[in-house]
Amino acid sequence: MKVTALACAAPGDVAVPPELEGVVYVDDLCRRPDELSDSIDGSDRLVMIVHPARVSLAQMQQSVRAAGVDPLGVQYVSAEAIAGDARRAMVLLGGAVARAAAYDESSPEQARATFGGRQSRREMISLPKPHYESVPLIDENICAARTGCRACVTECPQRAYHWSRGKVRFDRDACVTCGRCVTACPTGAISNPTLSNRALSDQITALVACAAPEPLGVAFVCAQRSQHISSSEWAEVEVPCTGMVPATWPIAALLLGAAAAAVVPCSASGCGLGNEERSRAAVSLAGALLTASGLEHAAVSGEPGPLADSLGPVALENPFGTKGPFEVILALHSIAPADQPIAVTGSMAYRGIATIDTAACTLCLTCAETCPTGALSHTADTGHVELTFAASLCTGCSQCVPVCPEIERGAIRVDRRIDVAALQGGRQTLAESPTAQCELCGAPVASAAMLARISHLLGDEHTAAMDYLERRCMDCRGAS
Amino acid sequence: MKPAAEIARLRQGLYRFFAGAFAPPQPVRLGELVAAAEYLEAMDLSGYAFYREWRALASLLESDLTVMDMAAEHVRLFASGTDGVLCPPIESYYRSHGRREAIADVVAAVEQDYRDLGLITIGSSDPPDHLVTQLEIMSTLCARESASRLMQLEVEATDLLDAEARFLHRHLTAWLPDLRARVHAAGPSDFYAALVDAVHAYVTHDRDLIAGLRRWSGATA
Repeated sequence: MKVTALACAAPGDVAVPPELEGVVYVDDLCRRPDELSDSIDGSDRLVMIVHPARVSLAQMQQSVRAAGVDPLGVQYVSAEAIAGDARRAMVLLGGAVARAAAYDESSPEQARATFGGRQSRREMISLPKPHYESVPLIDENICAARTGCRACVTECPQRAYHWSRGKVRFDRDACVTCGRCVTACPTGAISNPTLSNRALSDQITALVACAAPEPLGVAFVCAQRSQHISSSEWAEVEVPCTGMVPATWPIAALLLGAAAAAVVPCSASGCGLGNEERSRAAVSLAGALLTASGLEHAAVSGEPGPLADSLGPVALENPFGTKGPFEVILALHSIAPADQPIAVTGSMAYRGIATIDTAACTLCLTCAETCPTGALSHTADTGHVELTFAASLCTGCSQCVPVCPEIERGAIRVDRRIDVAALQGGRQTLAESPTAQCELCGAPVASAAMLARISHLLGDEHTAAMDYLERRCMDCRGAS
Repeated sequence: MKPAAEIARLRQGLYRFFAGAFAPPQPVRLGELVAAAEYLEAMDLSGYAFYREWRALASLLESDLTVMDMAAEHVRLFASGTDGVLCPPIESYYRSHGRREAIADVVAAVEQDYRDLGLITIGSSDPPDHLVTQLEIMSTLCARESASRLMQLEVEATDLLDAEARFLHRHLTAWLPDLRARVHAAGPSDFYAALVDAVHAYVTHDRDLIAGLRRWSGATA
């Protein structure tokens, strides 16, 4: 993988430091990107130091594409963000190069053409060139919609997802690429090429390494923000929207070696998604987790502040992936003071604990059949059925709740809760019952709990029917 | 030429090109494809996201492809299925989900849509829901749109844009991904794998482009 770093060398420019090691300077790259092809021979990925206000994104993407590089994988470093500071430039470049190198190629479905927002009167008489932005893609092979999962439908603030007959339909036009579906998907079926686990992980690791021995804070920021962080002690990590950031991401940054982490709400950009509250909730939950772990000295905040001690570096395989929260929590537990029970509840907790009211549950197992991750499962031996739960697999999506036929009696509940004891506890039995066997073929008829419930509903007037139901399975009913 | 008319013209040409590329290979047709690819390449195609897939296809056309090799591959993939999976380039194959009785329904719906657009297929031995026919239909709609824009019939042009969006939504974007997956599963085929990738990327892109153009038309109306 060859990554080339380019910098705009505009006449009289004082923002871009003049002698950055390994960087190719291109005259007025921002306004004349068509000349970049001479400087990137054989490159797979690009990093560019540019002045965002001077760049026509459509023109830049065209030049990059013509040079044989995927434009969605280009990492941009703002010249204003480095403003003549060579050391800061090298730190941000190091992070950008690592993220660019980790970029996975996009597919045609993941690039969406757009002509931008409001246009000037001049633009109305000439058609502007489209520029492209990434949109999520659903891998139908691992999507759990067929079991009834609607996590993306529930999460999307734009109503871009629709569930119908076991399939999720995605409305590309409605999507604003906030990324909430990516982190909410319990099976990891939704991906955005610009936002992989490896890309984030490699970028943060590289940022920390490039800043060493000086400590560095890592701030998750909205890609659409208008203001950059000016502190040289902090580096920005762009995400499509900070409302998508779960509480475990800033903790993962600390574990990867950052001396502080922030999730910066982007209310100033006025995107109208209302995700500022989510950002604050994620910060609050991360703080609660650190406190519960006895690591309250670590710094997670809503804006760049004073640096503190790093928690790492700790080797993490997949901290920003679907199973990342589990890995991060266990890593946190491994460095926490001994015997520290970590248990935190909150709406942003990306773990769930399912509980069953055994008096109400009939062991119909609909919840287990719906569970997209297999956290709820069942075992059925001859004459016995068990509903089991593995907290380590539960993402708290709560898809099991609305499908429960006994929902009104409160048979199942899911609390968004991070509980290390439960995560480490393995698979637990939540409910069990003997099952009646068919007198003809020996197949299971139903659990005793369900038969008791049916009997209760039928009342005393249908004892003969009940007796028949108990003795015959579905296939053998009606047989002589 | 007005920019919006120009882009409709370009889209017309691309649909026509892809239709020709999927037709059974012949020496004359291959020569025309090579010439058309050169012409289209000069139309600033790198400004569009499907350029990567287009370039992969165009570079194969620039290489020493032979009609015999292409014809053998065409028969293997789209007619006989020898040594691999048969990949019929017809909509009803993918949308009938193996139910014979549904094939006629799909074909009837396709023909009804043609009639609604004021079009009928003549002089073709291909079934009405064949990929080549559907690409030609899109090409025709784009040609009409271009002409309307040149004559400043903006309402008619916008209606045609809507018709293109509807046709793509109801037909090409609904089954091309399945055809593409099938061609790739059918084993190595440089040209037709690149072709199906390119047409899939182009149609996917065109769907978004039309949505953008409709918004743009609305903003300028």
